[in-house]
Amino acid sequence: MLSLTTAAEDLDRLYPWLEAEAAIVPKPIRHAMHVAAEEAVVNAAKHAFAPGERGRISVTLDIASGSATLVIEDTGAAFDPVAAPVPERPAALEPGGLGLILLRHYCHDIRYERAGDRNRLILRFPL
Amino acid sequence: MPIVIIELEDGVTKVVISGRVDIAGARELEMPMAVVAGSRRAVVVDLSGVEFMASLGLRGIVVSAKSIFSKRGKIVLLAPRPEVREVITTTGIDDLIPIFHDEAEAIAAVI
Repeated sequence: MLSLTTAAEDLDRLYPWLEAEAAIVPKPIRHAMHVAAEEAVVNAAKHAFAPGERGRISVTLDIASGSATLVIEDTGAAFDPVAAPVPERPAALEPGGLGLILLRHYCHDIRYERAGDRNRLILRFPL
Repeated sequence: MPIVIIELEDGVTKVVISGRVDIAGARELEMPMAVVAGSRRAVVVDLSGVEFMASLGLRGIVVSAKSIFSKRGKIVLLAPRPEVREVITTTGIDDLIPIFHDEAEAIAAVI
């Protein structure tokens, strides 16, 4: 399990951790996992915590025979990126919303749960 | 995540980004891109050496592009690898910041 605080430098550990943990996953799927995981973690750090609040985010990876599953949990305010509205195509150059488009493009099996005081996002990738 | 800024002829600036534009890479990119966006009006961003880019890196380019467009400047992207190109086209950002695969065409598009 990768345990992060929302400090910017701490989030830097996501890519190297996932690259090592998912080394046996075929490259195109690993790429999709990296894009989706970055968005999920950055989203959690941005939306779930008040500015200046130091929150905690955990990421776990479970590789089974037919799928790889990433679970991202945070202790912040409830935020459901699955229910959040996503613009189809950007009508103007607005940086917000890009990540949600990418999250849904790269992962087709996304579930959100509020588990006690935690947001839990479950991203499943068929292998 | 190296970034190299090259001044070409006709006032064109080429920004060559390479390596991994992950969360750490996107942060490293922020300051040099802000400097270029704040001071240049014809910018070619060479992505051919970028191995990975997701939403944070793309957001950084969009923020720079907004600044350049506000000065009636032009910015284009050059030669992203297929994985990086897919990230860009999925969001539709290429409708606003065009992608070129030939450097001469990219330069001609910003002059």
